Parts: sequence; C-alpha cells; structure tokens
Amino acid sequence: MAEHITRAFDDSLAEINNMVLSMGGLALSQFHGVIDAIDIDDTTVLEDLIAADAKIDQIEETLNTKAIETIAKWSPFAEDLRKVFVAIKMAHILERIGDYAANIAKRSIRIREDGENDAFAKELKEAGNVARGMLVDVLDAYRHLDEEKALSVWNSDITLDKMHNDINRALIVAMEKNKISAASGSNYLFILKNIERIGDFATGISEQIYFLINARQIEDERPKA
Amino acid sequence: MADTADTPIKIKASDVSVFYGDKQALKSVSVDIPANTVTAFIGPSGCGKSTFLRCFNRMNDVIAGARVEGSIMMDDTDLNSPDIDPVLLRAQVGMVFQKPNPFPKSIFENVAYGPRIHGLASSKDELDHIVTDSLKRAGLWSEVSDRLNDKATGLSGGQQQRLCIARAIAVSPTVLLMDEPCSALDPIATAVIEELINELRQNYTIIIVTHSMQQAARVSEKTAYFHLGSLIEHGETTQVFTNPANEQTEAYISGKIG
Repeated sequence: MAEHITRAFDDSLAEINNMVLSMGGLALSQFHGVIDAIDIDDTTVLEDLIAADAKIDQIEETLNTKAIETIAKWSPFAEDLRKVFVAIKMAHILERIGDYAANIAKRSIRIREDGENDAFAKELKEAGNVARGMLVDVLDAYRHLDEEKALSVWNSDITLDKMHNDINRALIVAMEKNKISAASGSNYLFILKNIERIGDFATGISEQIYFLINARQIEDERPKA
Repeated sequence: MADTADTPIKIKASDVSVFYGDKQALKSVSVDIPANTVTAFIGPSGCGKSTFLRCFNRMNDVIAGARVEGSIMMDDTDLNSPDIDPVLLRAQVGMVFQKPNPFPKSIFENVAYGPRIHGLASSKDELDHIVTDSLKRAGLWSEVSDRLNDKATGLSGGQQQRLCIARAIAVSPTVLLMDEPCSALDPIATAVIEELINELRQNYTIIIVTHSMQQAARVSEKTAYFHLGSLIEHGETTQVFTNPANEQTEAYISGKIG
C-alpha cells in the first residue's frame, strides 16, 4: 500500500516493525543457541543465553511504549491499526519464547549437574530443530507478509506435537525403569514441554500474520496430535 | 455500535446526480439512510459529500445553475417533486452548519423563531414549552435558563452551535443534517456536541459531514466515503474503519497518498 502523507507516521510504523523483527531475531538465536548447546559440557554458553533474555524484554517494553504513542498520536485505522495491534501481540509471544528458551537453558544446566546430559539430548535436539524450523519460517512469513507460509507453519505443528508425545512416553518409561533420575527426568519433561510450547507460539504468530493480512481470524481448527 | 441491517430506511437516494452548470458534482449516487442512526459522509474536499447532503433539504435549489437528477425518497415522499414546499421540507429536515450562525436576537427568540413561523405553538405557554424542551434536548438549558433574553451572539462558539441545534429541533424535524458541525469548535465543545449527537440519534436520523476521521468513527453507525463525486464505499462504520472494502477508502482514512 501507498505511503502516508505524514512521513513521521510511516517512520513510527517502521520503527515498531523493526522492533518486532529484532525481537524475532534475538528470540530465534537464543532458542537456536539453547538447542545447539543442549548436549555440550561447557555451561557458560547456556549462562550467556539466559542473560540474552533481558535484551528481548527490554525491546518489548520500548515497543509497547512506542505502540501506545503511535495510537495516541496518529489514530491508526484499518491495516495500520492491525499492524500496531499485531506488533504488540507478536512482541508478547516473542518475549515468551525468550523466557522458554532461558528456562530450557536453566534446566540443561541442572541436568549437567546431575551428570545425565546425554540421556535424551538426541531426541530433544530433534524436536528442538523442528520447533526452530517453524520459528524461522514464521518469522520469515511475518517479514514478507507471506500468508501461505504462515498457514503452512500453522498446519505443521502437528509434527512437533507427535514428537512431543513420543518422547514424553519414552521419558516416562525411562524414569519408571530408573534409567534416569527423577530430577533429570522431570527437567527433561519440562524442556520437552517448552519446545512443544515454542511450536505453539509459532502457530500463534501464524494466526497474527493471517489476521494482519485478512482482518479476520483463521476459522479452521488447527490439526492436533 | 449496533448493526443497522434491520433498521428501517428513512431516506432512499437512487441515482442522484447534481450539476452546477456544466460541472457534474455528484455522479449517480444511490444510498439508503437508515432511520434513527447517524450516518457519516467522509471524503476529500470537493468530493460531493456536502452537495449530496444539501439534496436532502433542497438546499441546492438556492444555488443558481444547480440541477439535481435522480430520486430521493424520504419515507414515502419524493423530495424532488414540484409539490414539495422547500420551506416546509426544511422544517422536517433541519440543518446545522460548519460555523454557528445564530440570529442576532435573544437566545429565546432564536429557538422560538421556527415554531412561530410554522405556527407550531397556539399560546405563549406552548411556545415557552417548545423553547425549553428544545434547549434541554440540545443540552444547553442548564447553561442559559437564567438568561434567555440575552443576545445569542454573546454565547461561546460551542454554546452557539448547540443553540443552532436547539433551533433546528424546535420545529420537530425527523432528520438532522450536520455539515462539519464541530470544525470551528475546541475539543471540549466538540466532545459536548458529539455526546449530544449520541443522544439525539434516538429521535432523529442524523447525517453528518465531517473531515475528522476520528469523529466519524466515534459518532456514526454508517459511513459513506465519497471521491470525485462518486460514492466509493458505504457500510457499517466499524467495518469501514477497521477493514474497508475499497483501497481508495483505506488510503483516505489512513492518510495515504491514494
């Protein structure tokens, strides 16, 4: 669509959009780093990744202030209004992704302390990579307002759900058979759940993209495992 | 605001065109105006919205060289029929202008003038009652009740505009036309008028021309967007401002270069 007559309005919307993209990039690289480091012995990487969360939180705060200022100043309508609204919601989702990634890192450190860092690393890495792929695609779909790509992510979450169910079962069996300690088992279960939730967040972003483009919610039921 | 789909139609305009000499100012506009609702006409200057508004009380009659084609039915009456007395029509279809234009008379006389010339009051008491009631409906009574004989021109701009609304409703119209009624008012006076419009909608069909998108979004249930004499989009206000069907409408309301 055409530019606004008032350039400062365009600048405000661009600034908000850039903050969403920055948060997306940071959340993605944080999650990416956490999944990569899930089985390495050196925990300093994980500690750095936990600290990285603060930056995402800080951008969200700035974005919210800017969004309120933009609504007050420019009274956006139609697509402009959806842009601001969706940005606020996206920022919230991305901030949550950062929290979940940090939580995975914290639990990974505890598993190391229990000396069981190899037990389910391979399975969790696989699931983590699927979630990471969804996140990469959905952030790309946001950047290019690609409805088809957003919907494809939305429909693909069932793969991650199935992986979650399988690994969850295997973890419980391992715990029952005392192959891993209850402490590590529960940390693995939480990590697994966090990865599965990040898949849900990716579908949440898909829904925001769909709304941004179509001014209505997705009406279909999302496929679930 | 409520959906207007089931509201009866007060005014039905079909293929209305207006010419000023050779120049066509309005191009075959058809629109249904629902009763007891607020309809906003928006669009850039010269788009035909005020011209169209003026068709509803035959104000174009007073412009030399103006010609109106098409039909405008209000209830069951054809407004362009030669049998219509424009003076009587204007009692039924009141108008409030951009700039408050009270008569240089007392507050009382401004409101009493219409009922008097239309013979609506048979006694002094009845006239007093009409004036009091109209000032109350226009939300002005508490501010002027103790100085009805003061000059109307001594009131503030916002009060003058409400006096003009009281003057319009004193002759019991069913339709109120408002042509940018707040453009000369400060934000407080504007808010008072908007609140008044919100109350008046229960008893009157209101059509408002406004250049303020926020005002159109706030006060109206239906919005019509005009561009270069054509009606581009007409729909529920919420829909027009959140998800307009037409790209030209979106460009206009969003302040974009169309």
